[in-house]
Amino acid sequence: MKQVRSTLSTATTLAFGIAAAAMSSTAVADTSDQCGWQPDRAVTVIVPWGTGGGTDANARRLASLLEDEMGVPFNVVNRTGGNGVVGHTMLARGKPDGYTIGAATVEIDTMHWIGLTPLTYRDITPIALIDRTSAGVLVAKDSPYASLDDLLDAARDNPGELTASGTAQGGIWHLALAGMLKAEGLAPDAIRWIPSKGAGPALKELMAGGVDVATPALSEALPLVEQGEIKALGYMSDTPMEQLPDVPATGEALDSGWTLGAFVTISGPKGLPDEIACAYEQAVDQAVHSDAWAEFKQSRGAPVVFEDRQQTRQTLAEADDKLGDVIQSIGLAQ
Amino acid sequence: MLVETLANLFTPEHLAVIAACTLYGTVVGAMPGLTATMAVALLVPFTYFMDPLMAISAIVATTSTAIFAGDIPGALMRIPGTPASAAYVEDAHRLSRAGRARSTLCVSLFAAAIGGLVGVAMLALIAPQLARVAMQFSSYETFWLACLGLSCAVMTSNADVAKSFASLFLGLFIASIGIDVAVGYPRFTFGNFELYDGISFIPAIIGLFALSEILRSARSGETGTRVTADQEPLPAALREALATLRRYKRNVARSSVLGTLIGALPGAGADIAAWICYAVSRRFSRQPERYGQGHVEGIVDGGSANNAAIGGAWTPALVFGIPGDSVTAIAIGILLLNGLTPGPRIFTDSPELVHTLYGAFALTNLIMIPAGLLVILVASWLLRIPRRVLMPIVLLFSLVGAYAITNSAIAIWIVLALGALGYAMEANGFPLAPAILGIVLGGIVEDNFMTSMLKAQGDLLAFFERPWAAALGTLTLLVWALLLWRAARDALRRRSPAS
Amino acid sequence: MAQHDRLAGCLLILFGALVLWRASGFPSMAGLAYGPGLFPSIAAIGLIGCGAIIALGARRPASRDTSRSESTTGTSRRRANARMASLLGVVLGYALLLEPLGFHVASLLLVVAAARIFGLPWGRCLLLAVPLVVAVHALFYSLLHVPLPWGVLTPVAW
Repeated sequence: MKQVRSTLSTATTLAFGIAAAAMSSTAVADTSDQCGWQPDRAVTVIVPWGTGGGTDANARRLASLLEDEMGVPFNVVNRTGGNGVVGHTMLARGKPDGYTIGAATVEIDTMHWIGLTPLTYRDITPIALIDRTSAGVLVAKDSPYASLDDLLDAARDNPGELTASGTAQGGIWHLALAGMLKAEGLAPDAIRWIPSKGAGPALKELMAGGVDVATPALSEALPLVEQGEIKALGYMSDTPMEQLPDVPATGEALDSGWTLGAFVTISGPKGLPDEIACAYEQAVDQAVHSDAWAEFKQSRGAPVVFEDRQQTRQTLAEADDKLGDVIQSIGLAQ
Repeated sequence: MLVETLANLFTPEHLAVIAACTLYGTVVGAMPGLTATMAVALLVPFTYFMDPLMAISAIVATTSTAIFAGDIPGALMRIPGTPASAAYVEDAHRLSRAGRARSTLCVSLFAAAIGGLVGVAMLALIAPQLARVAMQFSSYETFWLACLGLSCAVMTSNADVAKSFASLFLGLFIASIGIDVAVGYPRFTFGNFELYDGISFIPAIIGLFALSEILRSARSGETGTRVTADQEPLPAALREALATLRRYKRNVARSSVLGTLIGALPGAGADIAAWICYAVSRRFSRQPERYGQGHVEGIVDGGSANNAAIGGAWTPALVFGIPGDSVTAIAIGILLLNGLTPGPRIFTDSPELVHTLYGAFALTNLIMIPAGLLVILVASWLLRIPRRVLMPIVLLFSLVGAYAITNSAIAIWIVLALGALGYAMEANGFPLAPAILGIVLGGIVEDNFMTSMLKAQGDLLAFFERPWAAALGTLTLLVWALLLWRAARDALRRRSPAS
Repeated sequence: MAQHDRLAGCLLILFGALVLWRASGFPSMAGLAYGPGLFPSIAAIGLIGCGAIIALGARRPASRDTSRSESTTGTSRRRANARMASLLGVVLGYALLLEPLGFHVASLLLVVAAARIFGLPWGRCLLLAVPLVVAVHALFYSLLHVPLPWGVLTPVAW
C-alpha cells in the first residue's frame, strides 16, 4: 500500500542535456583534485517513495551504478509516508558526512506551501538532477471525451460533476490538474480531486470507472496508452513526445500554454561539504552518461537528463516559486 | 511451444537461480521483520544481469517461499513472519507446543505448494478473464472486500465477543494513526513526522506477538526449559502431514481457488486471502469450536490460500501492467527493462515469456518442498535451545528486524509500546488476532470509504450502485446480520438456564 | 480476574473518550460533515461500548487459558514482575541507545542484559552475545544491506 510515484521522464530539452554534458566534462577536468572524496563504507540512499515506483526504480538503478563506480555498497532505503514528508525530512536531517544521500523529488517544493512541513529545498544540498517527467491527461477508453477541449468544456458546463485522481490531496499531479483548470479560466476544483495512493491505484480507478480523469505521470501509464486500454488526451509539456505522435502537448494545444513537470534529484543532507557534493556530482554525471543508464531510461520510455549542482539548485528554486504560485492560486496554501 | 518452454525452464542456470532464491526466500520469510518486498527489492541489482525469464523466476521463487516461511517462526515461537501467517498462528503454535511442530510445518509446506500450483494453473487458464473482473474493482468494491476481511476477525475468534471487538477497535485506532487520505491531516502523531506514515504493521506484529511472548516467558520464570521437549522424527511428520492433507483435501481445493481469486483483486492480497479462507473454513468445519485451540484444519486453509494469492496477484500486473503490490511493481520494471511491456499484448507478442513465467511458478512451488523440508528440519532444532538462550536471540532478531523496516529507532518504540499492550491484552483474555487484522485492514477500509464518499459526495447509496459493489455489500451485511443473530442467540441461551 | 476485567473495561472507556475528544478537533472534508476524525471516532465509540460491556460483565470469570504456569507465592510473583519490568526497561534502553551508541555496542548490551534477566550466567552471556552480534551484522548489514547505525564505532566502520 505504499505510495508509488512516477519518475519516468518524458520531457526535456535536448539543449539542456548537451549543455550539461559540456559543463560537466569541464568540471571533471577542473576539479578532480578537490573532488577527491571517496566513501570507505556503505552509503545509505533514502527514497521518499515506495518500492517499485518510478523514483525508486531510478534511485535503485543509479545506486547500483554508483556502487560499481565508488566501490562501496549503496543501500536504498524507502522511507515513505506523509506524502513525501518522512523521507525528505530524514534526508535533510541526515549527517552531512557523505554516507547519507537521497532522491529528493519535486515535492520538496510543494509540501511546505501546503503546510505539511517547514522543510524547503534550502534544507538539502542538491547534487544532480536525474529525471524529469510531465503529467498526462488520461481518460478511460470508453470515455465520451475525445480531446482536451471536450473535457474542459464539460468541466466548464458542469463544474464539480467530473472527478479525477492520480495522487494524494495536494500532491504534484493534483496541482497539475488544478493548475491547468485555473490557467484555462475554470475554477480549480471544476473537476473534483479524489485522492489516491499513487499512480497505480489511480489508473485502476480510472479503468474501473471510479473516476473520469487521471493525471498521473504520463510515463506511468505509457504501456496502457500504447496498448489502447486508456486514452491520453494530452500531456503537460511543451516538447512533443515521439512515442505518442497523436497526443498533443498542452504547451501547444492549450491557449494558456500550461505545462507542469516533476523531477527527481540526487541530494545530500543540509550542509554537505563541497568536496563531497562535488565527488558525488562527478560520480552521478558519469553514471548518467553510461550505456547502462541509457538502456534503463530507454526501457522506461524516458530521455536521459542530467543537471549539475548549480543547475539543480536553480531548478529547485524556480519550481519552488512556480509551484508556490500555483498552490496559492488554487487555494491549497496554508 | 511446450518444448521451447521446457527448454527455457530446465537450463542449469535457471534451476540454480530458482533453488538459490528458494533458500533466500525461506531465510527472509522466516525472519520476523524482513518482508517479501524487501527481499525482492534486494534482488533488483542482480536482475540487471539476468535475462528476463530468470529475473522473473527469481522474484517468483523468493516471494512464494517467503510467504510459506512466515509460518515457521509462527509455529515455533508464535511470531508470524508475515501478516499472511497471522490468521492461523495460534493453531500452529499450540500444535507445536504439543510436540507436533514438524508435522504442522509440513502441512503448511504442502498446503502452500498446492495452493501455489492451483494459483498458477488458474493464472494460466483464466488470467485475462480474471483481470477483467479485477479491473472493475473501484474503491466501493475494495471497501466491501476489506469489510468482509475485518468481519473474519470476529468470526474466527474464540474469545469473549466484547473482548474480540475491543481488540479489533484497538487495531482500527492504531491503523488511523498518521496522515489521513482525505485531507492529509496528521492524526495522533504528536508532532513526530516519523509517525506520518502510520504504524507500519511489521513492527506492530513484532511488538504484539514477539515482544509480548518474550515478556510472558520472562515472567513465567520457566527459563531453563525448552519450548517443547519432544520432536517427531521427520518421516513420521511427513506421513502425518500427508494424511492430514488427504483428510482435508476439499479444504485445500476450496481455499486454493478462493485464495487465487482474492489475490487477483486490487487492494487484497495474501493477508486478506488467508483470513477469509480461515474464516470460511471455520464456518463450514464440523469442529468449529476447535479453531484457535490447535486445530490443523484452519492451517490447511490459510496456508494454501496465502500462497495461491501470490499467483492471483500477478493477473492485473501481467494483463494490464498495473501492479497489485510492490513486488509486482518491481517485476513490471524488470520486464520493461528487458523491452517487454506487460499488457494484453504480451500474451500475443511474447507468449514464450508468459509460458515460462507460469512454468517458473510451478517449478518454484515444487522446489519449495525439498527446500522447505530442509528448513523445517533445521528450524525445529531451535526448539531444543533452552529459553534463556533462545529468548535473547529472538529479542535481538525481532528488534533488528523491526529496525530494518523504518531504519530508525521509531520502530523500536513501536515494538515496545505494542509489546506492552499485547502482553496486557493477552493477560486479560483479549485475543490479539483481531487487533492485527484491524491494523492491516483498517487503513484500506478507511481510505476506500473516504475516497468513495468524496466521489459520491456523501451519498451512501453509491456503495450499492455498481454490480460487484452491490453483491459484496449485500454479502457483508448478511455476514454482519448473521454475527448479530448468533450473538443474540448465545446471549439468550446463556440467560435461559439461569432463569 | 473479575477485578482485572473491571479495570480493563474502565481503561478502555477512558482511552476511547480520550481518542474521541482528540478526534473531535480534526478538520472535516469539503462539503461533508465528517473527515479524518470519522474513523478514529468509530474506533473510540467501539472501545467505549466494549469497555462498558466488559466492565459490567466482570462478574463472569473470563474464559482464560490457565495452562500457563502462574506464580503463586508473593515473593516469586514479585520477582516475576520485576523480571518482566526489567526486560521492558532493557528494550526501552535499546530504543534510546541504538542510534547514539550504534548497533554493535547497543546490541551487545541488549543481549547480555536480556540473557541475565533470563538467568544465564555472566560468562555465558558474553559467549552468547558476541557471536550473535557478529552473526546479525553479517546477515543484516553485509548480506541484506540493512544500514545499521555505527554510532560510537563510526571511525572503524566499513
